[in-house]
Amino acid sequence: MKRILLVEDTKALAENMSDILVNLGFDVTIASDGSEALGLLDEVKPAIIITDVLMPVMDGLELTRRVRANSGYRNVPIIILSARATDGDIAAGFAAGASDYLKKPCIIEDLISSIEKLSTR
Amino acid sequence: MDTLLFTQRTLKDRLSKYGLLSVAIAAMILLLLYNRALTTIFFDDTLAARLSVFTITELLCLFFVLLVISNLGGKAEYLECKFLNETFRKIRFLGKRSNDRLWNIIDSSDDVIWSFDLAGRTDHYLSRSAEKIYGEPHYILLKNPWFWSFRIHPDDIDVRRVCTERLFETGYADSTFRIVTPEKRTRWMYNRVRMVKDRNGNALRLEGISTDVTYLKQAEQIIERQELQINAVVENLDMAIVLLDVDGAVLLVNKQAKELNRKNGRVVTAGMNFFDFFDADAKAKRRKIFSNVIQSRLTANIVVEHPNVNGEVHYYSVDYIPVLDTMGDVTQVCIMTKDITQQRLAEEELRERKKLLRAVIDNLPDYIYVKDSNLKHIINNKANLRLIGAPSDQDTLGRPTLSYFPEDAHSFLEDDQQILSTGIQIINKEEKLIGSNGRTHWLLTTKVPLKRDDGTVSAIVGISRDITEQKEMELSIRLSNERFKMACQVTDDAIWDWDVATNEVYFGENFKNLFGHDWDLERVDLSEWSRYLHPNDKERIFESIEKFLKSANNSRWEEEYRYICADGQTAYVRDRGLLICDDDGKPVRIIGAMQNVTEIVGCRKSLEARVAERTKELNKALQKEKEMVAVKNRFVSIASHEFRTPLSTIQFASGFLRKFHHKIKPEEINKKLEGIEKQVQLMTVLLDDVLTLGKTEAGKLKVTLTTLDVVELLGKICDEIETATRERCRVERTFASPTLIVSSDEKFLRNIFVNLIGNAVKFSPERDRVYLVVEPGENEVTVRVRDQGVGIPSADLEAIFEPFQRGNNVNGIEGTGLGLSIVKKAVDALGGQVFVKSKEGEGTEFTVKLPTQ
Repeated sequence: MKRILLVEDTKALAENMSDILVNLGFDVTIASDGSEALGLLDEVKPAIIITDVLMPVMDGLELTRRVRANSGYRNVPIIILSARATDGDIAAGFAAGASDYLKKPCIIEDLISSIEKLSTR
Repeated sequence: MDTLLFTQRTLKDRLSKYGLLSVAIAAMILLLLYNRALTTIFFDDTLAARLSVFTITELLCLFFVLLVISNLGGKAEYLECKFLNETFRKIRFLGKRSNDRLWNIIDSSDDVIWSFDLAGRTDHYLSRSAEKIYGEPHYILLKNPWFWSFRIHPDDIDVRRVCTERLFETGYADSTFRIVTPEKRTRWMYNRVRMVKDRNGNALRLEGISTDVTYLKQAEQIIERQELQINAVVENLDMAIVLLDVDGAVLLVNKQAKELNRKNGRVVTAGMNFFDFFDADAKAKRRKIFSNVIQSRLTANIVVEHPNVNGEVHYYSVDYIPVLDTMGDVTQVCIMTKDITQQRLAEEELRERKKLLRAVIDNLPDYIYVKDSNLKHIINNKANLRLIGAPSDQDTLGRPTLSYFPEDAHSFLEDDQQILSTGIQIINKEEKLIGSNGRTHWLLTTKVPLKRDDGTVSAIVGISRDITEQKEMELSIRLSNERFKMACQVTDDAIWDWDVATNEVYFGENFKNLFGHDWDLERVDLSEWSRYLHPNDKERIFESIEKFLKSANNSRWEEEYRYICADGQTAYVRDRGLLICDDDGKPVRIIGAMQNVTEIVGCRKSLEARVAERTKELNKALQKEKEMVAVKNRFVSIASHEFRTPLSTIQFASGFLRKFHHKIKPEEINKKLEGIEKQVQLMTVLLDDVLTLGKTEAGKLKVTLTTLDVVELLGKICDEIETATRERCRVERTFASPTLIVSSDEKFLRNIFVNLIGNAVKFSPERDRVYLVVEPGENEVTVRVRDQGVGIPSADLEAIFEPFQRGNNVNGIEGTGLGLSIVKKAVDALGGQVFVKSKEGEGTEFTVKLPTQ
């Protein structure tokens, strides 16, 4: 069972996503900001990280850079799911080390196909 | 003496043989004597001639007379020829008769003829004329033959002695001496005496003739004196004079002539033939003239060149003047030679000067002419000849002025007549005439009379300058001036023309209309004009003009300044000028126009003020617009994010339901649907807040003041919030008074306090109390909303009133992030203030101060 670390400060959204992913057979851990997520890495050892960008304390881009800087999780796929939707935002996301970038709101199929694509790699 | 004796003897022989011949000879002698007597009549006139011509004849006569006397006076006994006795007697008889007549004749002579016997026979003779000269009776004189020696002038006694000595030595002597008459008068006597000797050489007689030469002597003295004078004159003349007789012999030559005719040491002297002095050519030439003069009896003149002693060529005027006698025959020719070199040079110079003068007047463009007293042109320069169409001065001499200017001459002639009669010159008179070329000429004429010694006018000198061009120019100037004046009247501007050299300015008439100054606008001094420049503009305008004067020809100048009118009002002037420079680039004048722009300036000023105001407003609006655009951009960007999150939540919820509806429980479906509804609600609030904020920022929400009770309003809001949270948390209210009436806008107050009280409740999840305090003040009310909730981290406190700014510690407490920014906008709109005090984990207090009016 694959472990997903879901980083999202909006509780309702995080719960809805978690419900979907759990039903799809993933083991989901929710962190409400970047720094919390970093603290959970070693405990969770996620196969995929899904993160929001705009969050208090530490945003998703910083989290991505930190994960990529951590030799143990350098290759973990990171999907950014953000309300920031301009081309500049997307470019910044990939530059930080994201494996995929999804714009809010997105249908669940897009999220699922992205997870599947990254996990089979 | 031998000669005399020989002659006597021979005569005796001849007389014996040819007694009739002797008588004839005696008659001839008588005739000669008669002739002599006749000539004495002309004594005075032909003294010289008598002296020179008749002396010899007279001597001969004397000789014969003496001979006859000796024959007839008692010497007949010497004659031995008897044959002739009878005849001789007859002759004696006849001789006695003749002798008596002769004595009568001799006695009638003025000369004293005498014969003094030295042989002791006292046979003396003395002619009767002695009485007249010696003043004593003849017989007394005859008794005393030596009478005359006592009468000799004491100074001449020596002369007499020398004469006597010579007489005894040579047998002949003559002398001139003075005698003193009994009347004590001095007379000059010329005495000739001859001694008659016999064969043995014994003195027989002394015979002599004494002539009274007093007059002659006096005449000689006069002549001598005159000769001296004439010589003095002749020698001192600056002419060389040579007097020639008709054969060319020099009679007289003066010093100058000698000087002139000196050649190789030879000098012309009296006696020589004048023409021998010259070389062949010159000789022939002079001879020819000489003969012509003698023939024609007319003076001839030639001019010869001849080097003087210094070798310089001199010119001489030589006159051959015939000297005529009373019969009109030429007796002498006087050659007078005068050095005319100086004169000739002077003449040449004069001629040159005349030529020069002529060249000058001929080359003058002015018409110059001289008219004689008949008003005919006697001299014209070339310009004048051209003007009147005459080929030469000769032409004008023969024609009257009228024929040259048939139309115009009358007025000229009137002027001329006036000058002739008054002698007063005419200066610079303008005349108009039609020249020979058919063109009209304007002349500026000056006529000056030339006067004779008696003051009458002999000629008129006229100088006319052609001023046609000037005249035409004047006309065109006058025309353009009139045009200019009309132009000045047509325009509203005050035209001006400033003469830079004199600083005099001409102003068009409008200057007075525009500015009221009553000046002589033809000539305004620049300083007078500049006096009325506005003091604040003066320096600037002066500098501007100074600078302009240094610019190039045709430069243009434009300035605006204030100008003080005559009535003290200030006029605004737009002044424009055009600089005109001379060929050297020196400024000569500036022509320009002053335009009164007072009205325009007034309009412009108000326009400018309005434009400035509008610009300020526009800038303000623009600034606001810019701010709004910035806010809007930021807002849109943030809002889109704020909307995307709830939308995403809804999306995932609905996606979950769609995907897993077959395997999830009904209560789980409900929960998801409630979640969706909640998100929709949240989005509605968000939308409202966004719209409210948007309106506030766009200034679209207008404050509408109404009188209301703040206490009542706040109580109502608190109640509503308590109800909405289902009484979870109460609002502890502290009102200083039960009512507080203010003038404000309820909608704005609601926005402020719903948000503040709502936030206090929302961010106090652990508490059941929040606090509201209303403190009325002077013209304001202070409302405090305090909670003991989560508080705001100090890092976030600064930006807490910005849209979508939320504290980091909100941790799932839902909100739009717009509430406080709406509060801030509303407080600002009402003219109040809002402050925040907070500490994370301890609570927050907002203080709102609002005006009550």
